[in-house]
Amino acid sequence: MASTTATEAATLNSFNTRARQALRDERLRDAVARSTDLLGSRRVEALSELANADELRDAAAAIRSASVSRLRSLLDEWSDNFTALGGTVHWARDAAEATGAIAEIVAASPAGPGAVVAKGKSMASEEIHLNEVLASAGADVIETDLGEFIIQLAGEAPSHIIAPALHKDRFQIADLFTADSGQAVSAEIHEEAAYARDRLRRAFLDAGVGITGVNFAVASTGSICLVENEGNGRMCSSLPSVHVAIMGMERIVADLAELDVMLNLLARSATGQALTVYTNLITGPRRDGEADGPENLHVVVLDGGRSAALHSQYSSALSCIRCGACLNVCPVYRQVGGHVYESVYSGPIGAVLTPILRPDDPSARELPEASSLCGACTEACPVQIPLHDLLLKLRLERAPESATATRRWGFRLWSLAWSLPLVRHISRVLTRLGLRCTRVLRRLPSRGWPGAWNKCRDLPRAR
Amino acid sequence: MNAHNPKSAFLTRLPEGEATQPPPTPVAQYVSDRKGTQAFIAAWGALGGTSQIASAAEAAVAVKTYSRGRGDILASPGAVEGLVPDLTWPDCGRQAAAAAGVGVVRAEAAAQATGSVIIRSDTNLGRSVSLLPPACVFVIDESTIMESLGAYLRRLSALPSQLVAVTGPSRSADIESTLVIGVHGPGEVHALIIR
Repeated sequence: MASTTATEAATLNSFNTRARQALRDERLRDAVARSTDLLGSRRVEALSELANADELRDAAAAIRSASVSRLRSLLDEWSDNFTALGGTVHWARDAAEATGAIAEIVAASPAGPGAVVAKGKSMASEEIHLNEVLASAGADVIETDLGEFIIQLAGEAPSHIIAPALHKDRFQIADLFTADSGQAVSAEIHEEAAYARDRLRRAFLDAGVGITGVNFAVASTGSICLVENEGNGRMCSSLPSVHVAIMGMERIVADLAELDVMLNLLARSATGQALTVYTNLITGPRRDGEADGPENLHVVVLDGGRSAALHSQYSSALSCIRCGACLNVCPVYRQVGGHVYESVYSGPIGAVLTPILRPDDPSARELPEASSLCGACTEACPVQIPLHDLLLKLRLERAPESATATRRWGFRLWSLAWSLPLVRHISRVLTRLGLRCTRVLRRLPSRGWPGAWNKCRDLPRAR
Repeated sequence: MNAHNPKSAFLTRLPEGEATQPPPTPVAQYVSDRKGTQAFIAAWGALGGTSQIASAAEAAVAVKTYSRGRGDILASPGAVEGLVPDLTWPDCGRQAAAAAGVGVVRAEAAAQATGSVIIRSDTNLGRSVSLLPPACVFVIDESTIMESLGAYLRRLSALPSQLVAVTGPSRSADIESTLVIGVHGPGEVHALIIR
């Protein structure tokens, strides 16, 4: 825009620029619309199978906020129990500590630094850019979740929390698999899945180290719980002799009764399943006399900006259980998909979490603008995070720095004017007159300066 | 706390947390018109699992009949009495599990509300048997079929190294949201319910 400086344009419009690009990509929009519609309607259906869904959601919200408020004692209890079982905990304050710890574990594993690493889906691992670090240390890291495998081949980032390759269609995937195998893989979905099964089966059997995420840690038992549909998480946590699980430090519940409440809502909210196909509850490494399972079990507990959020007005965002329900209902996400957010986390929760976890990143701070504040996200959230409130608070925080001097003075004058009864009266009369002219105003061009407002909204008709 | 201890250094930065009331943990109530074994069979079937009710004496034959045309049977010891005694876990190892056509394991319990089979790792019960073969038979004592996974978890006293609730065949919808069965884990799952 001519009226703003080049740097302002870069920071103010980069999301818009990317969004405009996404809006022109018909393939992407079709794929995103199809998936989000399906996931959204299945969620509603699955929740209707619970006679006390509302009671469970209230309880889930209470459980999560209680956990977040007493993380110190829960993590302490969990790590004592987990360590007593023979597991090793690594406390990582930031990405560098986390990746450093995992690189050391891989280097010390029987297969050494060049080990084949079979990796299950983990958003925390995306946060710390684990794959790049391990690859540069010589490891052969292979993503084993079908969607993650696809985007690893494409060299892209996940575009949805639970359906990472949602933006790709089967023709694009066939091209990726053909390039990977050197042989033609047809664009038939079952054939593509069969190719991935064979290709990744070898990786599971060769892997020296398995890496997964953690859905919940259970303090009273020292367990970690991992939910998944394909069986790759079970493979990664059962077959290699070393299993490393990465956990955002807030992903903890007190006991199995709390876990039960969360499990009843997680899969229903995410994919509309009552439970995922595999609900894995892992309590320590392989025990004496057992025939398989990892001999060494490590959990990396990641802070990565969370403790700062804990002390802020945004701590409720840490209740998130990564179901992705807010993405599927968001009118912004549904139009543009996940990549325009340029963050591990997209959609409403991404627009909240990203600026909290990356406070020094100016591009993260514009994400809260990518919302119509309709509140559909808040309504869909199984743990009742007030997402649209948080988005508004984040906008408010940014307002003083993004306001131009003209705008600041404009609002100051307006506020002064409206505090005077006479001026306020005159302005109301003028407004009434103005509304009579809406026919003209409604015809304002959708290009240029009125466009940003006028393109998607209609002025009210005068009574 | 000792600042040089990584755990203490990590935890001291977190707020202490006020002593609050423990949050409520209501038990999920499921909308269903069926009860007991039939409810489990219906839920498991809706996910794509097959099932069969047999007496203990019929079990070995049932497994063999099911496995016909599906490849070698790999059974964990004690899963089914009198079943191919020379093909038992753990003697045959992980590679054998990868080569087998059908894995046979005994389930701890089953959950009717979600159609889940609960299995555990143990000295006689490897993890690979129910994971690597393309088909898996879960041998379930009818008396262990209960309301839900939650009911099982809430009365659990000691946890095994791995407890898995298996809810249907392995699946993925990562390509165009189209359901594909049998991506990494078994694509065919059979519940053999012993009366």
